[in-house]
Amino acid sequence: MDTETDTLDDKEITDNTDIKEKIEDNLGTWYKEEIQSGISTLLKKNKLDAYTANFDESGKLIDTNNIPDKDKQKLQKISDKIIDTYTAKAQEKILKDTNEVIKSKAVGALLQNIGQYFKIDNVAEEFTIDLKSGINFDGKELQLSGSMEGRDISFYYNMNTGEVSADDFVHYNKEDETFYIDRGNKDSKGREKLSLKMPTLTNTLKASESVYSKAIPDALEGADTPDEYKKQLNDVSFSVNQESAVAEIAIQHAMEKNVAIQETQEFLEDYIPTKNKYSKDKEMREYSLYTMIDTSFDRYTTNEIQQRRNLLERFTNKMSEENPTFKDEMIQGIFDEDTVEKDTNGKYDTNT
Amino acid sequence: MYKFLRALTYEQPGTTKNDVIDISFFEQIVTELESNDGDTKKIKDKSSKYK
Repeated sequence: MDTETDTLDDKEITDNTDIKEKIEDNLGTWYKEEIQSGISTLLKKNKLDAYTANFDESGKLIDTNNIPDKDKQKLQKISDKIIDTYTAKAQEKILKDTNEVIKSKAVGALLQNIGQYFKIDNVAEEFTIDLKSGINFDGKELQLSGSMEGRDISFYYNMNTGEVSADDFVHYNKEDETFYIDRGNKDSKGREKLSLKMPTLTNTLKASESVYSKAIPDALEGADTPDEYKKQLNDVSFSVNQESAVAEIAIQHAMEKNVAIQETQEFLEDYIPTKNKYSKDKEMREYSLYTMIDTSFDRYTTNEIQQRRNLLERFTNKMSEENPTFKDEMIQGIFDEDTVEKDTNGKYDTNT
Repeated sequence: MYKFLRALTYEQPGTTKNDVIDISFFEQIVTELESNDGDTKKIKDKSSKYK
């Protein structure tokens, strides 16, 4: 699953009093060896080796009663320098880890939330997503690419706006003023916005920040290493529970429509040549045919789309029978050589 | 094929993008094709487009 949050530049927290207060308690545990090594180096440099035992594990000066004042001042400077250095180091790591947890938990919660409508957790269902390659996040958009009954379907969740769109089969690209009749891709940019709204990343980050800011003291308390802090924080759960019947209907409708429209295209490919793009001036009629199909699927309920798919299957089966007999002139005309040739040339069956 | 698909449409009043494939009409045609070897004569009478 590729949901790296490196592309989210903003840091949710840049300062935290709990971190500052608690870090000092953990310095001796987290950086014991580094601190002792640093103190030894500085003591040798200042020819104060005799005072090694006057520092605790966290670098604090201890047992100062028998230390002459002139040395005590030097030793205190060494202690302050060591503590400042490792406090800053620890703080930088803790803030970085905290921000990473806030972001990854927020994105993960949004993914899980929208996933409920795709039944991602139950991959035995109709729509399947490869959890390693089918989920991508670029810092703004979550792309969910899966398949249903062997046909590819992608959904795009704009986390800034909460809008969800799906591949659009019939669309007009304003940039090159060309009609496209295919699944959306990088070149054609054909997408259909679904009539539903998901939670935005901005709001979810705020909620995530609130949860994990409160969890910082306990996570610091129980962490024996800096890495353990992140684990402790990660163990705190965060979720977004949006219960939306509309979202479920809209996504299931989009999935069913996408499969049905691909099936229809496969059927029509035998009679109408397919192209990646359609000239606006010359092939409006062909575009009209596909928009009619597209509009139909937009208007149908999910059950009606399934019903229409079943009808197309029955129709296709009948047409593919060996030597089918049809008294109907139009049915006969659809499949005779002249009609097929006209269709192929883009003239269609205007004379029949 | 184009004309056939057009024949399967109906128009909904008050809409501009109004061509929709009529499922029930399609159902009648498919049922007739399956049961009577393509005798859709009865259906043709129901739609002015299906001629």
